[in-house]
Amino acid sequence: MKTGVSTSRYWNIGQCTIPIGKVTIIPSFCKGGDDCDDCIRFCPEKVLERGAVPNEKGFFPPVLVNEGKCTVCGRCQLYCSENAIFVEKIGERTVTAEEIAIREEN
Amino acid sequence: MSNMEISQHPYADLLRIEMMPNIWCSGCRIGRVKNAFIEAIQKLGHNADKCVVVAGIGCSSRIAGYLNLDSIHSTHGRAIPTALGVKLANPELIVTVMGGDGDILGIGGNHFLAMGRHGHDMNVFCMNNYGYSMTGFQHGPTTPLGARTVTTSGGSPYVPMNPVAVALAAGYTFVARSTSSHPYHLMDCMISAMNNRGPSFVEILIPCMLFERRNKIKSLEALFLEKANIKETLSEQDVNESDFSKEISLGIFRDIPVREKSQLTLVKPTKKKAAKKYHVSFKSRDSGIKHVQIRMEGTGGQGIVQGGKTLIHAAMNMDPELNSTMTKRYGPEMKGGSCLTDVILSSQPIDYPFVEVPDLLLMMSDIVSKERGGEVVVNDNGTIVVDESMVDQSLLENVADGVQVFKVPATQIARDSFKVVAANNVMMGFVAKTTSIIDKACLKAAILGSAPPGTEEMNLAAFDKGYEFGGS
Repeated sequence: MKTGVSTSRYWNIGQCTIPIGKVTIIPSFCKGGDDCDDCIRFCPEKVLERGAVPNEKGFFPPVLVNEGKCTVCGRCQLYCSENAIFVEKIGERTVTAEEIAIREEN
Repeated sequence: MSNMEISQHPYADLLRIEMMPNIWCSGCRIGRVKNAFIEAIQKLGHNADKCVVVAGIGCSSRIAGYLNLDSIHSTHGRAIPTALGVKLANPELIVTVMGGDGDILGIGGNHFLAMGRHGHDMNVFCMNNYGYSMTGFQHGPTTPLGARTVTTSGGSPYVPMNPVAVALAAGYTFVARSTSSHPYHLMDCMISAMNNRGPSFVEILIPCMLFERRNKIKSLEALFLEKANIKETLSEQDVNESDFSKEISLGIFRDIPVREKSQLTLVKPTKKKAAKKYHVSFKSRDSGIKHVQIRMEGTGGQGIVQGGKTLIHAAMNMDPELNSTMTKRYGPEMKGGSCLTDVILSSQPIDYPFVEVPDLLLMMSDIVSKERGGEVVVNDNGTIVVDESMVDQSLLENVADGVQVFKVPATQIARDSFKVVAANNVMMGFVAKTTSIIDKACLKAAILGSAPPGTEEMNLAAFDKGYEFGGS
């Protein structure tokens, strides 16, 4: 925000909620590797990382590293060509002050 | 195990889970187009029973196999005609054609052009991956200039075709360009295309691994993301900006409502006169025919084929139990060539539809006999009906003694009293009188059935004239 006024003034932090997502990876469908890695690259919260264990086809499915951070933006399930990943909303949580501070910096 | 998990996928309703996992290469983004299409259908809230996907042959055409919609995997390049058939059969359906550039623009190029002209409410989503990738990447219509493929190992010498420019020129009412690297933009384009009530075309650029490897491109998707420029309003210059090495303009090039069909300007509406109704009643009866071969021969333009049709319709009217065939033989000339029609009437099933030796030969002219070397082929106990004014009489000298010969100047009568085209009906009238094969009323009814509107009176009068001539 370029207005110079902190947006947190207008936000009631106690009422702002963010959805919590549950990420499911289907390793047998995944074709991840140097050519793909779409879910890892396009995740805005950096929830995923390339795994070290190959599946039966020799591809490397991603693994969850920051599971609680998923905000159910749905990007991974739209970007995945193989439909090997999807997210479900399992709950909501309130926004922490740190997260608002990070967004204000940006 | 994995099937359990995939059934909870938000797209699971529209995916054929038993076909998964799909066949595409690692790094191919065709599946993302499929995801965008599923999201577009879910956002629009369409009933899945009302959506049809038709695809041809190719990598991208496999989408039809993975979508749990009514889908047709048709022949190579003919996805658009197949979809047109679906649309014409049930106009309520939302018909989408999915295909690659080789399928839609290369092999099915003429159908792609014709669809813009026809103006049906169909969507064409063309996935452009710069060549024929399913068979190992051969040169296709959209291969960039200088790109290496299997068939152009020294670099493609041809300037690629621009699908968006072609679609704009062909008259599509919705034209857009997107890439698989911008799935949200692609989804918007698909939604707008489905909302448009005319022919819609979306070009989707997709990266192909084979193209990347052969041309030493590290990542085509990264190039798309770097060079692509999504624009709200597009100019004429943006149509040609599709080169991934320079700049790509994405967006909607045209979104117009369907033009109303204007009145036909070339054909002026004519008032139809209330035509006089003719009716000839006839009675069906058991004809007692066992096997009769009838041949009508003459010059093209004399109504030989029409005469044959009259004969066979009359025969079918007369005796519905009768088996009958009609074959016609004529050259490429409309008028003036030799022409003959074979009609076989039989109480038994007919094995061979051509007449070998005719029992009844109707000669409207002698051109066929002269081509045969002056020979008149007829059964020894048969009948010949000759048009006196057109046939050289010396041909009839060599026929067997048992052959009955009747002569009528049919063309002369028709020319004097009516028009020359009625000569075959004069002949029919004469045949009805002199031979007893087919009833008069049945022949008249058959003539009425096939005569062009307004000429019934003349044709029936010609028939009666021929009938009178035989009675004398």
